[in-house]
Amino acid sequence: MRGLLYKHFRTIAKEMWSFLLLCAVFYAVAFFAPGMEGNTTAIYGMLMMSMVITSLLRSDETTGWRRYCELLPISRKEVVTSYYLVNYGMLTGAILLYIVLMSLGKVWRGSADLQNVFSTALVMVAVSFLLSALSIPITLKFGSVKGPAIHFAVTFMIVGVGISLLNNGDKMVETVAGMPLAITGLIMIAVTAAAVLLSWMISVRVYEKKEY
Amino acid sequence: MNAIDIRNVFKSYPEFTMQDVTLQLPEGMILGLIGENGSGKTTLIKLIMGMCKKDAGAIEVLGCSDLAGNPAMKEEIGVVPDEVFLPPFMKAEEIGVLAAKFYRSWDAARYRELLDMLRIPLKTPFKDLSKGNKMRCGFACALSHRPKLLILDEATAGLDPIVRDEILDLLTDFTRQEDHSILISSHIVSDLERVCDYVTFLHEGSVLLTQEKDLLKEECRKIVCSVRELSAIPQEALVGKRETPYGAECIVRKWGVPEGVNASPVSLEEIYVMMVKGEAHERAAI
Amino acid sequence: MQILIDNYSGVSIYEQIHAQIRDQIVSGELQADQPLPSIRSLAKDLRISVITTKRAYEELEKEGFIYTMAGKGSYVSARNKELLKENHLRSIEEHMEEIRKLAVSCGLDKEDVLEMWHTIWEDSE
Repeated sequence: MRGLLYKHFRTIAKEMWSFLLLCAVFYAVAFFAPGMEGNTTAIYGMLMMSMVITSLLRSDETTGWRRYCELLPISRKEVVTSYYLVNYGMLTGAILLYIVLMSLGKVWRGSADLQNVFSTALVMVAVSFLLSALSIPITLKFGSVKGPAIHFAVTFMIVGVGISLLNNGDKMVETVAGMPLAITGLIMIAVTAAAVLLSWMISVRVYEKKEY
Repeated sequence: MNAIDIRNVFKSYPEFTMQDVTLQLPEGMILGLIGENGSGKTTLIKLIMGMCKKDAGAIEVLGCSDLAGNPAMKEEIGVVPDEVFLPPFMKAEEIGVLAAKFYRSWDAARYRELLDMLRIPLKTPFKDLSKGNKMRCGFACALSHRPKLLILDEATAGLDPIVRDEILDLLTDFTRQEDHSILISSHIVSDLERVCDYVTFLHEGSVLLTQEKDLLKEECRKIVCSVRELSAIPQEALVGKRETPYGAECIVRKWGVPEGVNASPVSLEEIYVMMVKGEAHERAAI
Repeated sequence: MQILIDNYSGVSIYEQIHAQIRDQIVSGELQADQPLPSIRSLAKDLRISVITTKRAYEELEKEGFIYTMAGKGSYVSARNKELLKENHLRSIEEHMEEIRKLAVSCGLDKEDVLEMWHTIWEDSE
């Protein structure tokens, strides 16, 4: 696992640093932009971060790295797990950074109201964690050629379902809006964690079946 | 014990099938897998490493029958594939750092030694290395974690004769130890000719022959004869023939050489080509 | 110990090794109880198959020219050198007797035969 993580981080630093830079830029802008704009900008930053893993997966396929892994003393499950560790490690780091940064910003501006920061962070968690929970198994299964198309199609469908739910599930939204942040937060985190776990299990299954 | 034990393995692809492949690599030996491009050499190696699943049959590597499920066994196996896919931006020395994180018994000093010996540029990113240098780097990696079994897939193709010679030296050095074995597949037969203990001929997914190299070379003789003399040769003695309007060129087992006909020694390559292209295609059991 | 392999002669490699080691033992170049290189290192240095060197050693051991100690390697035998030399001497005597009979039967005398003998030795040098 050590070797895999080392190689992933070096690859990201070498080839995907632009995503990290963009995220930093968006965070910087969000730091100085007040209110809603700042939140949206920060969320764009997170979107950048969630694209890193797809880029890494595709790069590893094109360079033949995963094929080379077949010769190393590691299991396919370890290979898959390494992607999840890297991805969610980075996303968590970026979200924590956001929380710290924005909290500091608010305090510096004399406000103690951090509710906004945390609710945005929750949205970030949901969006980024779930997006990558979707993209990792798709990229592993369909590769870098068919993957993007399928990814797009699935995301499209899910967004469509989500929007129609939002439009028709007024009652649901009201209930959710009525609950204290902590409860909503916990529910969201639980659902997200379950989704990530399911995604990991599917990815392992998919990759273990692969024929080189 | 056999380092590699393959029994009755089948594997189907849309355009190609491996049929009933059986071969053994006894511990401490070097097996040369000879076959033209597309004969199934790489597929066989993929099957051995668990990179794809066989349809039928049994494969045991260093006593393990499921390599995919026991990846720790790969500590003992060094593989140089026909294309080496190391991280393209890493330089040779950085690759050593990376490899050390994967292998418990990584020998950094040995790696450095091999980089020097094979004259691999140290500061060039992997993607900018020539094909030959990439191969050499793959070699250095494969030999530096103290494996017991080496598997080389066309590892000498595209290398100049000097480097090939150095690599053959490394290989024979590797087998100084009794439990060290090598499976080397190549279509450059001359490299394997001297150094192999066993040879297996692979053609269109089937094993034509698997035999001790010395016995094979001792048994087979090349003759040129008339059509009449050709008919006197028993079918079981004929390894392959090529008829011209003026006579025939054949490879025959020693005991079947007709009286008075001059027989000369023959190389592995000639035996292989004659078996494939000549007109006796039956499985040879010498 | 000197071993020269001729890849292109019709003689198999194992036979070449066997013959050369045997001759060196008989001629005394290889002393009694002198250790021989291991099968593997010999194969490595000559760049040939380990099976070949193994066969050559096995043949030599069967004929009594060498003996093997488990875990230690192979060594030149003492006794058989003399035996083989005796064998060869006897063989030479028998051949000489043959030559004498043949010479007599076609009217050659001792000097003629000796002349032929000298020529043959000189030519082979």
